[in-house]
Order: sequence, then structure tokens, then C-alpha cells
Amino acid sequence: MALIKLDEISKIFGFGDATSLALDSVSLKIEKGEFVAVMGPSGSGKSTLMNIIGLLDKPTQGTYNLDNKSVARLKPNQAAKIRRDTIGFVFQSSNLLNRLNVLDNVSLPLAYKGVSARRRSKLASDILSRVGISDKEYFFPNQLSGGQLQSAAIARALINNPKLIIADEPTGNLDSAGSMLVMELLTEIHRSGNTIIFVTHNPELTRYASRVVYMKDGAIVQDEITPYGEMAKIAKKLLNPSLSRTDEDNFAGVSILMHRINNDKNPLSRKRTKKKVIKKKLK
Amino acid sequence: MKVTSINSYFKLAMGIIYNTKWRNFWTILGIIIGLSSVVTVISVGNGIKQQINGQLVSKANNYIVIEPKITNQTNHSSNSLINNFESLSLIGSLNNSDFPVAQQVKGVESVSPFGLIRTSVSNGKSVSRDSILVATNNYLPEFLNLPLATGQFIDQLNEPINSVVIGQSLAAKLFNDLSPLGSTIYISNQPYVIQGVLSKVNNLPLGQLVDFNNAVLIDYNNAQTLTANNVFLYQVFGKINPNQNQIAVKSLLQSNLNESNGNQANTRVTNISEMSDNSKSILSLLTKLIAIVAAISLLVGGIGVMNVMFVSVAERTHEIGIRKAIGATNKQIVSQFLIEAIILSFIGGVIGVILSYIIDLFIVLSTAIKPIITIQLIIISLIVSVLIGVVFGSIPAFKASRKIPIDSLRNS
Repeated sequence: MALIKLDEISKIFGFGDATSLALDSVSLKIEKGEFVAVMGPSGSGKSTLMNIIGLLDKPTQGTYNLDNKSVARLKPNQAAKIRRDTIGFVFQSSNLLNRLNVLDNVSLPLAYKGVSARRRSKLASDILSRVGISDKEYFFPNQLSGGQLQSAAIARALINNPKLIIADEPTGNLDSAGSMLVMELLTEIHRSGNTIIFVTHNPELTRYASRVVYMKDGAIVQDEITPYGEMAKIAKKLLNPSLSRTDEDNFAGVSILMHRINNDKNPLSRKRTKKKVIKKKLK
Repeated sequence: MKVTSINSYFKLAMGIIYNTKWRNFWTILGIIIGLSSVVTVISVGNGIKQQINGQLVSKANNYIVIEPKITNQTNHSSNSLINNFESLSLIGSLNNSDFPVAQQVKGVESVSPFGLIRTSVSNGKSVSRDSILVATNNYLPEFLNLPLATGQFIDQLNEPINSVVIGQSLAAKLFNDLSPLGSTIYISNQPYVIQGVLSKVNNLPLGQLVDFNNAVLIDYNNAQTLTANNVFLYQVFGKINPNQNQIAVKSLLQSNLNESNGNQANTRVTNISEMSDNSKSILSLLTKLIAIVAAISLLVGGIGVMNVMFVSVAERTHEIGIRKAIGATNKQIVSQFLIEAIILSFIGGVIGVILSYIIDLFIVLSTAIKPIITIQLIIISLIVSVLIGVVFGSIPAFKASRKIPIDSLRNS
């Protein structure tokens, strides 16, 4: 049975004329133990999808089963408890609380579960050594590097031993060394049996994934299984756009050409000439 | 909610309050002022009541006092001294005949008049001009708590020697450190022998008009002779035989008094415990007025707490988003902010109580009032401060808990 089963999920933002369809009848099944990379241009609905899968947001339409439970229409507190117990979040910016030290940040989900302070510290300490920053336990977030921050954030996501880890551009703020560190960490976690979904703009990182989902305009346009260590086809295409020409490329090219031909009618170019005239007069 | 989580909320809230301590200090100033004024007023009231009660020997039901009714304005002589007292007392005086009438009522055991005459007292050399003669008899110590430092109380069996008892301050003024016992003082050129000296009396701040430390206690009949029956009879104390029917004796006394006053009800017989009703009613009116002001101050303080909590919630929207994303329920978010508000107003309460303690110290040093801060008063005011935190913190806390996690996360 699939861990995540989305069926015809739609999400509409805004009211009246200003509505936008962020997700357009998305159906997706993710099995337990998968390592899914979600790609797509900005505004394609990746983050919206992550938020709905992570129960931070509700779909406007459609059904969502998480671990065989229908969770599309939960009350806020029920959703909070599922987030706490079965989902771990890693955000683009680590989203650690600046007021708390690393140990307290990592153990925070346990505090909401009602675990005793001593046990919290022990568990958090264990997790921090697992992600390799056990020497930073009593540091505050502003004293850590980007990679260390994300490691701490991953530790926090892991503390409740969640079935599912959702990482929304976990490497977005990191350099390549930091990105590698984070991805290695996620891979190691994946190896121990967790299901991981991560959003990325970096095609290179699809090497780590077992499956790549490509989104565009609120819909999944490509969904491919990739062998570990190899880049997905769609990712290769993104890295090397010259390999093929799409209809959109053609459309964009024609549009530019048309502008050049109808130079007089182009309001932008006309303005430019007017300015030139004024300058000449001033001289 | 588990103890561990309360503890962690507490720690967190303390950290947050410390980080924004100046803002929070100005916020809780309203609570500090409100609470300290309430505590001060109540402690002063308690102190005054305690002092009034401490002045009475017994508050038992058979101890009574005859007081003039406020309407009695006309039927005494127009002696300027008396008028002076009258303007002070706002009450008027009894008829001089009221004392013998009360004495003759069956069932009334001991009767003590309490008359006042303002006069000057000299010991032949120095003069004390603003002394008060208290015209009374040997029964007075049965009613008022007037311990003697030395000597004996006045008695009526001392004819022909006129004996008096004087107050502590007057003794010091006229005789310095020498023992005044047996010395002679002159009142209206009449010699009197000092038979006793009163211990220092803590004067009542609002109640009695008599400064016993500066008074001369003199036998009532002597005083009548001295002033040609012009003693300003302020009150008459009486003790009813405890075996008699109290109500019957009281009503008999009242009717006899009315009869002797030409069937006019210009006296009032009450229990001695109600004697200080006048001062108490003024006191309670004052207390109420200040309590209203203080309550408004507390309200303003509470609104201040609410405001600062709203700001805190707005500033920490992103934090709320993170907390909710990692599994905080609405209740847990409410608890976090509510505990913060409660701690804030509780700190205000503690500072308020300490401040009122300091104000009370100044009151003790500069006036005759001895305010009393009881443990109950402290506990109640701290509970009130906590309640302010609960009431005014709950709206912002509720608002914080209602935030949608995804919207809060976007806010950074």
C-alpha cells in the first residue's frame, strides 16, 4: 500500500478575478521507502504540493491518503499531531528558532509530544551526533554555517522518527559543498528506511533520487524512475537545453523576431527614439 | 498539559521577556501602579481599623455608647470653645443631663462621660496652650484602652484634692524628664495635682479628635465646676449588666434620654463596636474611590499587557509557523503565549506589592497610620495580577493559535 496517495488534488488561491490554479488535478502515489525529487520551474506548484502532502495546507479539491488515512479534511489540531508524529520538515532556510540553542531546537517536536526534558536532551543529542554536529549542541543558530544549520534542521525533522521527510529546497541556500553534505545526509536517512520527498532546482541532485517528478503549471508533466547515481533524463535536458527544441522555444523565438520586424509599432522602441530626440534638442 | 512542557514554556517566556525587558517594563507599569495603590489603600484601611479596634477595651454587645444625633445643632450654649469642637466633630454634643440620666437607668452598670474642653495648662512656669481637658470619671479605662505609665487613674473619692492624669507629651513638655507625679498644674488658675501619667497612645488617624498624649484627664464634676457646666459632652460610655436583657435596657435608656431631652430623639445608643462608624464610613468611601481609580489603572495595565502580547504575536508569526509545522497544537501555542502574559503581569504584581510595602514604610514614618499588609492581601493581589494576565493575555494567545501555519511560515 502506498504511503502517499493523492487523487485529483487541486488547489486554488485567491478570490474572484484574482484566482490562480496552483495545483490542477494532481494524482500521485508514493510508496514507502522512495526517494523522490520534485522539480519544475518557479510557480509550477512544487511547494504547494509539498505543503499539502505535509498537511500544512488543505487542498481545495481531491482526496489525500497518508499511511492509509484520509487526511485531506483534518481539523488543525489533528493535522498538527500527524505533522508531529509522522512527518519531518526541512525548509529552504533552516527555520530554526533563533532564541533556542541547537539542542533545544532539535528537541522541540518532542516537547510538544510531552517527552521529559532529560529524555528530550538525550534523544536530540543522539540525533545531532548522527547528523555530525554533536559538537554544536549548545550553539545558537546564528553561530552556525548554512550546512550546519540544515544539518540541525534535518536532525529536528528526524527526532520523532517520522515515516515521511519533506524537504522543500533543502539546498537552496547552500553552496555545492553544503548541498552535498545535506544530500548525503538525506541519502543516509533514506537508507535507514525513511521515505523522502525533496524539491530542488538543481538537476545534479537528481542523482540521489530514486524517482523524479517534474511539474509545470500545477500539473505533473513527467514522472520517471531513475537509477541511483544517475541524473534523470528531464534533469539532463534542463542542464543542456540545446539538445532539443520544444514548441515553447519556437514560440519564444518567433515572438522576439516579430518584435524586431515591427520595430515602429513596438511601444518600447518608440519611447527610446523619443528620448533620443529630446536629448538632441537639449544639446 | 504536562509539567515538563509548562517548565519549558516558562523558561522560554522568561527568556523572551528578558530580551524585550524595557518594552515589558513600561507595559507592566500600569499593573504596578494599579496594584500598589490597591494594596496601599487596603493596608492603610486595615491599619486604621486595627488601631480603632485596639483603642477599645471590649467590643462585646453589652458595651454601649451614647452619641449625639447629627441633627442636634441648637440646644447647647454658644461657647466658642464648644463651637470649635463642634465644627471639628461634625456631630454636635450631648446634653449635660444625658450623663446623669444614663447613670440612673436600671441595668446600666458603669457609665463614663467623655467631655472635651480645649484649654491651656501651665505648671507655674511654662504653658501648654493647645491642651485638651477630657472630662470623665474612673470608669473610662473600662471602655478605652488607656494604660498608665505611672501613678493612678483619677477617682471620685479624692475630694477636696483635685487630681488629674496627664498625657505623655504634655508631661514631657511641662516637666521635661522629671517625674510629674504629685506636681501641681494650673488650669484656669485652679491648681490640680497630677496623680498619673498615661503611656504613649497611638492616636487614631481619622477617628477620635482627642490627642490623649496632650490631654489632661479630669473628673467630670470638677470639669463642670471649672467651666460653669459648659463641658462639651461628646460621648457617654456605658456597660450594661450582662445578665440583663440588652435590648430592653438599651431601649429603656434611649426612651429615658429622649424624655429628658423634651421628647426629642437627638441621641443615639449604639454598641461600642459601632462607635467609630463615622470614621469607618469616611474610610470606606475613600477606599472605594481609590479602588475605582486603581481598578481603572489595572484595566489600563491589562490593556497594556494585551497590546504588548499582540505585538509579540505579530513579531513572532514566523516562529508560530515553525512551531505549528513541527507539530504544536493550538492549545500548546495558546499556553506558550498565555504563560508569557501571566508571567508579565505576575512580575508587575510582585513589583506592585513591593512598591506598596515601600509606600507603607513612608506612611509609617510620616503619619500616625500604621498600615497592615497581611499575607492574604499579598496572595490576593498576586492572584489578581495572574488573573489580569489570563484575561488580557488570552485574546492575543488565542489569535496566535489561530494562525494558519503556511501563512505564518511565509511571513519572515
